[in-house]
Amino acid sequence: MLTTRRRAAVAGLLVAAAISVTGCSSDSNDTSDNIKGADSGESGSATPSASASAEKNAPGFDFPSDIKVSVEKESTGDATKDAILRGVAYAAQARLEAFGKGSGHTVNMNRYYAADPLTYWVQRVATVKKSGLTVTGDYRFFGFEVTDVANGKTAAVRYCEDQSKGYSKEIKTNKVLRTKPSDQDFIGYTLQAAKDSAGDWQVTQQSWKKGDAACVQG
Amino acid sequence: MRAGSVGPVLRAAVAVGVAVALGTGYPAHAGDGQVDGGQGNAKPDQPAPDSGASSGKGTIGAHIRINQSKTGSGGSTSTATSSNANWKPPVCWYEPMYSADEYEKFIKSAYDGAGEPAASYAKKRDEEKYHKGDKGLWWQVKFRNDEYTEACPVTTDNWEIWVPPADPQPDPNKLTPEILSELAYNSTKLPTPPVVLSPDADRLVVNLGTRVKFEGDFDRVWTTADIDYKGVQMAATTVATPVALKVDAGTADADPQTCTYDLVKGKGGYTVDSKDAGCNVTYRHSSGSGTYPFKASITWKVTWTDSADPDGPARQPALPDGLSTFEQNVTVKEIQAVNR
Repeated sequence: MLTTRRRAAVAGLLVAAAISVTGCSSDSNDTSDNIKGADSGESGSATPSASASAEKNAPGFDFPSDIKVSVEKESTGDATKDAILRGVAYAAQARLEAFGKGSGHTVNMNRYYAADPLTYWVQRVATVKKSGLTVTGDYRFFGFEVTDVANGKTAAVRYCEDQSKGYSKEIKTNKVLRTKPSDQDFIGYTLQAAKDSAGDWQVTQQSWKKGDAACVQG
Repeated sequence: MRAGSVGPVLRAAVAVGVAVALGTGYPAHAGDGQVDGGQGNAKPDQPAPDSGASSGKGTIGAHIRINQSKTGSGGSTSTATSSNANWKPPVCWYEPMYSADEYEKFIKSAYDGAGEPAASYAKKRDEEKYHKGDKGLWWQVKFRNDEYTEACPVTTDNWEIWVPPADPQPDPNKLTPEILSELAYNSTKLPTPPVVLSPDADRLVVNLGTRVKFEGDFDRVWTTADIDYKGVQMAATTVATPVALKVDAGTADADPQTCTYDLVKGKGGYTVDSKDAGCNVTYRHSSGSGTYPFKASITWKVTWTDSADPDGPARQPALPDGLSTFEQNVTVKEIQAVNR
């Protein structure tokens, strides 16, 4: 039942995306970015670009071909909250992209992270790469929720990541280190987001909990 | 070249060995290794977990210490519940962190290789020369709750602020004794002493007033939050004094359902005896085969002062009353004749 409901929501988003792409066809840059973003998504799944209707300056993600990403995010009906969640969903993908590339010094990391989390993830990406590993598989981001907003410029947000089909991969051998499925594959993130001078919502503080009861799905 | 090519082969052999030894073929951990540990925080240098504010003693933020007076020998405590549901502890504040020289080092290392917009922030500080040579400290934003579930009003423009010794225009989010008092209040643990009922809790009687006796082996509870870091000294102490005991039958089938008694300070602590009181909770129906949740809540008047001395003068703004509740299940029987 859950799956069915999710598919229905996803289908709705795709329709919205199709309309929005047509709607902003006058700006060739935006359109190409949208399409690039859509390419990174799993076929038939919602992508960040799909859910961000008519967004200007949407980021492009350059995932390795063995990584598939889906973002399940619906409109909240509130423009500010939608913008916050859009930024946070981009941040989630920016981090995955950084691990995939083996470098935290990417345009998208700089754009969607600030302060401690930026420093931390840059170091963490380097550590994982140094140990000879990268990431591979299917990633799903869901459960996006704005829990608090202050003065329209900062917010508290949570979201979930499903890594049950995401694995470490040895860079040299391409060997995929498959893991036994468990509740620990579901990670809950809680974070602060703040709007920067360019108008992007950045992750400014972040913590996580593997096996977070609010995120674990059968 | 030959020596170099041996390495990977050996390592691969070792990896196979490990997998066989485990017998599963799966690495022990779940997921993909992006996220370290079961639970964590995206901070460059993760401090060792401390006892936190939940124990009534510990640290908050970077250098704020919490200390609470003993709550008496009698058993259990609970975190103070504010009587005002709208009251919220501070989400974040600026705390003294770096001298000008240390701040320069911090910025140059944390923002090393950073792209925009982080690079602009580092550049802005560099153009300010980190206030080197000036008297003062860089204060950095800190959070009470590391799960970041509430929004902090501090924006990306100022993760740190420069604070001179005599601050002419203090930032509204800068740590103050008032903020410390709220942190102390939020960390306070209050005793929840049991009340003695007569008849006994397992054989209360319909239409007979329930006598409440209470001899609290506790005194006022004070909690100090203080910081003493790089010459910045600040403290606030909250003092919670018990003033009243409210009992609630735990069912609408009681009249009166609730009674409130003033606490009397005796030699050993605070007492109540409702024997001669005009109000005694009186059940009107038996609890049948079940029980009623009888509640006894102590109301605490809370004041605060801007030092570590609990007897210092009370400051404004006032803090809401605190509540600590003891609950016990009681059995109520119908009895035809009462001869006691």
